[in-house]
Amino acid sequence: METNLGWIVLALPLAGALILSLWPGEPPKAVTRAVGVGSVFLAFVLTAVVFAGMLGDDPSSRSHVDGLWEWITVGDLRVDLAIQIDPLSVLMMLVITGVGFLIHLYSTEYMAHSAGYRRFFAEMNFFVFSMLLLVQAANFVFLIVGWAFVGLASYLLIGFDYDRPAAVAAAKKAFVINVIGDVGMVIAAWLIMREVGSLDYGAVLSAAPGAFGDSGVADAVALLLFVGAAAKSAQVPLHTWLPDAMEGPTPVSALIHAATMVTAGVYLVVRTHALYEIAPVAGDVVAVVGGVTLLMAATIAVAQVDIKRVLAWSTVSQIGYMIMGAGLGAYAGAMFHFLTHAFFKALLFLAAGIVIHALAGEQSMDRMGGLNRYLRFAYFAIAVGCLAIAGIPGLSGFFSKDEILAVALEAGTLGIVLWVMGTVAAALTAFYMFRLLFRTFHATEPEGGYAHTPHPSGWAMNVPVAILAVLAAIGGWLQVPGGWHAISDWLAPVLADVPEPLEATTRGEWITSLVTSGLALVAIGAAWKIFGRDDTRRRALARRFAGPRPVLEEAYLFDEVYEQTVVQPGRDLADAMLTGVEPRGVQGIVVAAATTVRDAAVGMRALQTGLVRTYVFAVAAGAVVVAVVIALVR
Amino acid sequence: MPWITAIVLLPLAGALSMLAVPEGARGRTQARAHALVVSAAALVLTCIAVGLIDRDLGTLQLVDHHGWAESLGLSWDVGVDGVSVWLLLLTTGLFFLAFVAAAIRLPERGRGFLALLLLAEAGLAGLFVAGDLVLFYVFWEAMLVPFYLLIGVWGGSDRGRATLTFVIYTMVGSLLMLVAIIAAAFIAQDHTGQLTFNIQELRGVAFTEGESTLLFAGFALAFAIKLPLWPFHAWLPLAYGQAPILVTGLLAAVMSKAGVYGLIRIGLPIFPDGADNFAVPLAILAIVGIVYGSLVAWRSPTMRMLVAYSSLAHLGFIVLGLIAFDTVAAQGAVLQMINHGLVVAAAFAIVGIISARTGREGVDDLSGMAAGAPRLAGVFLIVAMAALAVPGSNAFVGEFFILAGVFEHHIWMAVLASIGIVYAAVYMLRLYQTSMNGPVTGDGRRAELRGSDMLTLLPLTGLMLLLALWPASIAGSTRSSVERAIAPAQVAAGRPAAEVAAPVEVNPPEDHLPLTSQQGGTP
Amino acid sequence: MTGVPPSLYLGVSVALFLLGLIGVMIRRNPLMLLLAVELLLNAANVALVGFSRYWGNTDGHIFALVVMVVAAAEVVVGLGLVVAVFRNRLRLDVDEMSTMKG
Repeated sequence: METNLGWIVLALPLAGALILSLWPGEPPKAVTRAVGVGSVFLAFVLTAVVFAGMLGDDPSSRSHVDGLWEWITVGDLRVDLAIQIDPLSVLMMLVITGVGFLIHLYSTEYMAHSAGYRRFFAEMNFFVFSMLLLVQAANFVFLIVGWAFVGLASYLLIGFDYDRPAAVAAAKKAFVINVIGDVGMVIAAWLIMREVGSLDYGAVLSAAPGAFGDSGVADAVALLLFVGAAAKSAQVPLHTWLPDAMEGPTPVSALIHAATMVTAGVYLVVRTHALYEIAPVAGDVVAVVGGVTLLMAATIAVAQVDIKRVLAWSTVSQIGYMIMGAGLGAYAGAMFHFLTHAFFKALLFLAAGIVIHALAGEQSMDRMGGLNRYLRFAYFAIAVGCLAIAGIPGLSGFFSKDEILAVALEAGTLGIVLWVMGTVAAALTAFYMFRLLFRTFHATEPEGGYAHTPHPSGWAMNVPVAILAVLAAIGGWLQVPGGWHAISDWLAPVLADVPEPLEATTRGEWITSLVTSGLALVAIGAAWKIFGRDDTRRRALARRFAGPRPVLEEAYLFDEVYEQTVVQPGRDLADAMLTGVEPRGVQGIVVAAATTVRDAAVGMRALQTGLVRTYVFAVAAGAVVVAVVIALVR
Repeated sequence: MPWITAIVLLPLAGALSMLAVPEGARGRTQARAHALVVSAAALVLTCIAVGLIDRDLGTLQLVDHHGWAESLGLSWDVGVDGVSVWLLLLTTGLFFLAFVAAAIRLPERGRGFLALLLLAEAGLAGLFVAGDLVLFYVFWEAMLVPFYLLIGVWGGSDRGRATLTFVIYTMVGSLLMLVAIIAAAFIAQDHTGQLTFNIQELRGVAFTEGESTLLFAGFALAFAIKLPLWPFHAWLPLAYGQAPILVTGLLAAVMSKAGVYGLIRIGLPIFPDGADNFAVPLAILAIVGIVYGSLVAWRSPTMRMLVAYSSLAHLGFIVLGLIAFDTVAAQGAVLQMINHGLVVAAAFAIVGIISARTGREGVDDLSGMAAGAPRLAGVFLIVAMAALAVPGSNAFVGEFFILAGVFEHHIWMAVLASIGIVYAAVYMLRLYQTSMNGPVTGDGRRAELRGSDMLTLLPLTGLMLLLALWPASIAGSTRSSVERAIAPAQVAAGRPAAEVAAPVEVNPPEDHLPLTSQQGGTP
Repeated sequence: MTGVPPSLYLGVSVALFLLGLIGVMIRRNPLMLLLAVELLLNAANVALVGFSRYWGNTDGHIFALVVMVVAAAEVVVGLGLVVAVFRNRLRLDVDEMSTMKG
């Protein structure tokens, strides 16, 4: 029953995308809305049914695999078009369809003035389908397929306004970096094929400890998979595409580049945790990458002026927490933070979208300020989101972030270093989020007024934001230290094979909570002092940090370095081949050969006198020479 | 019923009977109908043949054998196995679509154009079913003539140079192949006491390593030029650039498979030692071709050149898959031959439509066409994604398993070839984005796909989607054929016995030694 | 073996051949050229028949007959060309008939 419903859940958004794409002519907006939103809503309802059904099952029998048909058999390897429904994938599916539905609903109003209304919903539905495929796949092949399809959907939606060169360039960058990640995963799949001879999760993950042993192959596979995870989840050094991806419409940023797709890397690490358990080096690398990313992104977010870029860097930073947690072995904690982050980051993006919509597309915080008088609803929504992400006790981010940090405390020296980084970044998070809140809604109105008279949003935008605000506020109570552990319990069947799960101690939890919430309050206070009322202090601060500020604004110059060391040399090499090797080498050899033959022929032509007697003489002389030679040799 | 003979001779007869069609305006309609009916009949016959063969059997089936000059070992010998039947289907299928496209937009002197296309179809179909080296050679050369004329008469402004390079270059290779064919037959006679050109009977002949290497080199050079393999591709930019776009599509989609097919049908099974000695050099050339083709495609000035060089890169993957002597890789390579045929045909069709309607060839001359041409943008996106082998596309299946098989034996080759995957994304996105995205121009509305364009593009994209969803439809029937083809080479490469899935013939069989009579080995 | 020794046959043959060769080389009239070629062929014939007799088999005779047929055919073509040239009122001089020269 679960898998049958799983197939339907998978098929619904695909059907929506196909109907919207193939609808002859331009469908009425009502039809587009009904199909686009309806398919995702139905998928959510059916996922909820699956979830409810699984709640009634015994925890040990909650995993189901079902193949539709034999996709291919090559050599002795058989791959089926198969899905796996288990607690982990159902948790992901709930978030994808649930948050996805809310964002689709929000988009009906946000995108109302767009000429590509139908295209938008077709591509969004395609994304939901791809993301569901990614989490439902039962083998590495369809994981990679889903992985690439979400990348394709992301590409299409980042470049939704395809007449803007910036959007097109951002889309291309996102696609190419994700292809690099895909290649990493594909090589990992080859290595798995070579060592295990199968690509099914079940066979690979259960055989992994025996098949890989201590040979280092497990580390190699885990690291290669993480290349894919890092590219998709925007971890250092493959993170540069995500901020640029903000060129896409805001609902796209909320769904793909905040709530779901970018957390696929976390899902991957949790899904293949059996590999990371036997790959200590890879696990540490993952944790360190997560730690470096979360701190670096938090510092960059402090200096951004574009409201969506602040949120984008904040996303990079928050995924860093999840990746760090997953790398340390806090799989349930990482998934918990994924869940709460989906709520509050989607909330923040959608609420920021209300602001952007109200100002007719203005995204620079320099052109905002004092908006709380006009957009009270968005103000409260963003405030809730900021409180949640800053880790104020009682709201969702507090519980999930602290769980990861508390576990880090138990992970030896490395864990303590990472804990310090995470704690510092938590303070920075509170600072830059409230900087966003204050600069947008408090402070003073910009000189020269707003780009557009702010107008409040309608119900289709407000209802999803309200629901997400409630979830962001209370979502953390699913898992309370010392109380109950709904997420850990739900994922327990999936994580049952972890030999020595890392668990936080009560003391660690108290230390973490007190330190982070204390720092968060200090940071909020500092933000209020600097950004709360007018911008004199802000300008003074900006002057004082005139040196390092551009470095932060340019995100530590990663783009510049890549351009100089990778892209431009490749371009030069290609040009050298096109203009040098190709005409002079490859073609040149052929031309040279042809010319030589022709020149030789021209020379030989002198012998063709046209006079019969010379020919006869040559023949006779030749015959004499041959005769003489024969006579002499004898 | 001699199905295979009929499939080869039908287009030939169609080309000859085209002479009965009158010249002039009335004849044009008749010529169209004539070509369409003939190629449709060949396609139907091929579909029947696909249905008739036993998919689990690796040997030649539907064999037609007719003695011709038996004392010289020559015969009319055609048949198909699980590999060649798909190439035959690719040939008749794509040629049928080409005739549909040609019928819609028939060039000047249409009667001759269609007749030559039919001749080319007969040559290629014959090549893929030939079971005799001399027959193989005859078809190999025969298809050159119609392509020569098609480029020379209907080609672009620089067609003279293009045809000359194309013909002379491929001729050089094929003459060496002719020498190798004759030498192979006579050397085999020394070993087995029997003069034969039959490919099946030459399998397992115990050539010495030196003989095997030299003979393989003779064949491999011809195949490498035809493919083309880097750096033997000098004719490719000229011929692909100057040919009518329809012919370019057929050259890239079908004719390029002739060289690869020669490797798997003749090179690996008959000269395993030579193949083993040349495996790494050929693989290196293939990898260089992948990277080189991708880089040059990235910076190519025209759309046509971009697709042409991408084809060079894609063929590198296919060669790599065969030369790895691995069942998985070889099955992937066979699948990829079909995939590449479909994708590159569709890509050239789209490029042809765009440049015909807008009058522009340069990649950077176009912009923002998606606004006026949503259908074109959609189809183009599917084709571009398949061309860059995005996971989930049909080309991904082939490339994934080719490199998975290569990875099994040569990790570094697979990893190096992966560079090509990344650059494929770069150059295909350049092609797609610069033409479809960016500031909107009026070109889009002019180039939007019409119903007649859909007649060729829909079947191509439909098949691409089918193969993406169900690659087993082809891969399911290639396994035993592929295993049989690569088994000798696997033995020569010293692979463990567990990997060699098919029996390796010994010719003459050991119980026949020493040779007592002229009746040497009977396979 | 009685009768004429083979060296005499060869002597006649060589003499005829040299005459023909000189004729081909120094004559410019195509008719004379044809005659000289005829001498060459017949020199070969003499040698063939002579050796045939010397070895006591008939191969040489057969070759000689073939050569005669070829010679006849050649003369037909050659004379035809000469007539064609003459009809066009060109000078009968082989040195001037060189338009086919590359």
